[in-house]
Amino acid sequence: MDFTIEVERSMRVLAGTIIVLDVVSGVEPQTETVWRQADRYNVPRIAFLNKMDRVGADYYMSVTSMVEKLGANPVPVQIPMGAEDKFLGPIDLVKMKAYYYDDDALGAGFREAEVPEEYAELAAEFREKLIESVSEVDDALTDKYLNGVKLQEHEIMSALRKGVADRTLVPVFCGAAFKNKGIQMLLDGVVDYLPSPLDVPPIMGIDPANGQPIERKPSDDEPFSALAFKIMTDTYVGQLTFTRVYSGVLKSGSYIYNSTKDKKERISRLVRMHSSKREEIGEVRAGDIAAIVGLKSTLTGDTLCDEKSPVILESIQFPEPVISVAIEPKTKDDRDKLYTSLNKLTQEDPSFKVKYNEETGQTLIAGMGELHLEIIVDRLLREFKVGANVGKPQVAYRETIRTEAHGDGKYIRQTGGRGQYGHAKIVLMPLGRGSGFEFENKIVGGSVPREYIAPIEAGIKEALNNGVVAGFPVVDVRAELYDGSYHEVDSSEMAFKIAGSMAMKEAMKKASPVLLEPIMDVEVVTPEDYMGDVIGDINSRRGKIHSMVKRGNAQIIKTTVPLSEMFGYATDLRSRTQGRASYSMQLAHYDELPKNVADEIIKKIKGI
Amino acid sequence: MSDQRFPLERTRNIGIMAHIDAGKTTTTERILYYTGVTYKIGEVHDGTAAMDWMPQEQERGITITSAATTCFWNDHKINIIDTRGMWTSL
Repeated sequence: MDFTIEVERSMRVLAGTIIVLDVVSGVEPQTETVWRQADRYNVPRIAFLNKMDRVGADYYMSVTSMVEKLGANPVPVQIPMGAEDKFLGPIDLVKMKAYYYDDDALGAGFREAEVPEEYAELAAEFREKLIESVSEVDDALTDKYLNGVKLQEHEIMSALRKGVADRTLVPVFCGAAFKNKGIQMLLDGVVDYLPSPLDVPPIMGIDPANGQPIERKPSDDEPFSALAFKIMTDTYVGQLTFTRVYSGVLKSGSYIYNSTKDKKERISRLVRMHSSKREEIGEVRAGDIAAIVGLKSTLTGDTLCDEKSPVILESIQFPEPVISVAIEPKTKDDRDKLYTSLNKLTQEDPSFKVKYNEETGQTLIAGMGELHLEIIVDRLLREFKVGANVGKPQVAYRETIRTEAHGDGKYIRQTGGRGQYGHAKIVLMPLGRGSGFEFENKIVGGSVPREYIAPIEAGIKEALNNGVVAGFPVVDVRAELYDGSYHEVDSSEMAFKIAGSMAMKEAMKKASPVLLEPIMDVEVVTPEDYMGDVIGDINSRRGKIHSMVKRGNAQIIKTTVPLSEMFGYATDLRSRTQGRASYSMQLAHYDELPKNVADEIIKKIKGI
Repeated sequence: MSDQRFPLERTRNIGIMAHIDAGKTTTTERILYYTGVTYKIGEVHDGTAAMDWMPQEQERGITITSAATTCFWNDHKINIIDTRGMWTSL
């Protein structure tokens, strides 16, 4: 899982989730994965224990597996009557009623009845457990419970609702979706127990003018603010921008302000997607979700707001892509297709970059991780049917220097007619990680005329694109231009640009250049049984363990690992832990490569 | 029902998550089906119409694949957000 940004964004859209379990197997590996993600982002949830009609269905085993494998606090609000082909329907423990489904009525026909005699004892037992669980949520109920006062239906329900919002308990429902059983009660559960947008804390954003934090309450009366969370192309209406409104009201036909892009956009239509149709709506209000038709510059993750009260809800800076893959279209048709497809994909996911290399004719796609690129490439080939050869993923290394050094670049050509004359002297200094590039002109006295300073800087910057070690971009250096010379007739911008580039290259060579590699923050969540294996593997990948914390019955291991050692990690981790561990990663920083590793990379790249 | 207003306390923005094959798609389909039927009370909703509706819907595939699908239940508005791609699991 290396889509931290997408996950975070989706968490701002969801206020609750239904976790569906197969009651034959109980908790499965991906149940654990999605559960941990919901934990990490504090998402309230209810559980639907599905497939009660299947051979081997075991409701109680599945509930226990939620405790054992997830460390959850499942609270059955239903128990099943029968199982497998004799599954009749659920008993509701809050209302203490039984619901019988008529097999012939496709689930539309069910009837409420008293709890049958044969389930009376079991229902009473689980009802007691339910009461015990809810009385722990609310102090007033604890007193009542301890004093033997009977709890009212509404008291039980509001305590369950509170427990879900606080994430201290998970109400459990049962049913058989395929046989149309139990869905209505599950929907009641969504309405009764999952939080509304009002129950979620107000969203925070920043004022684009001064960077100060701003809060937007979920109210129609606040200034309009919304987040574009997904862009899709619809065959009939064109591009749909799915938008979650956090505050205020958005009207069809109005203009809004995209504060992320600093652009005004027109809302030509507002659409609500239903299961059988799309419906045009006049407005969309705080807390709600709708699709906008007509947005041109808005990308996934952008904030839309009232121009008079601008706010940026998501100030996520997309980190620089750390990994790239080369794509070569097979035919001219494929080439055209590749460009239009990449265009669409970048709108949906602005976190990857596309570069075209004129020299090789290759298109480079750069992204945040191996899996990220795999998915993009897969969509290009399958969904957009682009015929292309795809290279192996490459780590985006960088170069920098360790010491200060001087560079003297002289570009002089006298080949009859007008000659070329450019000359620049620079001193190059190392800067701290993440500083990028600095340039300063320190020439006093006019040894180089003013109009040639900018071309020198441009030449230096050009040289930065291809470092002297292995041709990677150079970062974290400061260049000071302190001297040079010129010629009355032969000097030109071009000559000084070349001189700047030459000075830079010379200085780089003398300044102990080194390779930098991306180091990733990697968080692994694993069941305790596999902890030793996971840690051993991280160590063998030049990883450093920073902390280990217990969450439920899982261990969260925080580490930093060089990206180049993370290739194939998804598969390795899966096989090492039988698919029960998950990980997320993002760029931490760039760091100098150990000499032996650097030498090997240089060898490989230079083909020596 | 264009401008039908559901106050915030009667709105739910939810996702549906599961292990593959646990029945996430079927559950989502059934939710959309029952909310559709109930919301259109008074219109045709006998069993035959119901069964016709589902495969056709699957074939057209408009909504199950929509990033957000809205349905109504018990005087509440429920927006179901497609979590695929968001909750990419290994």
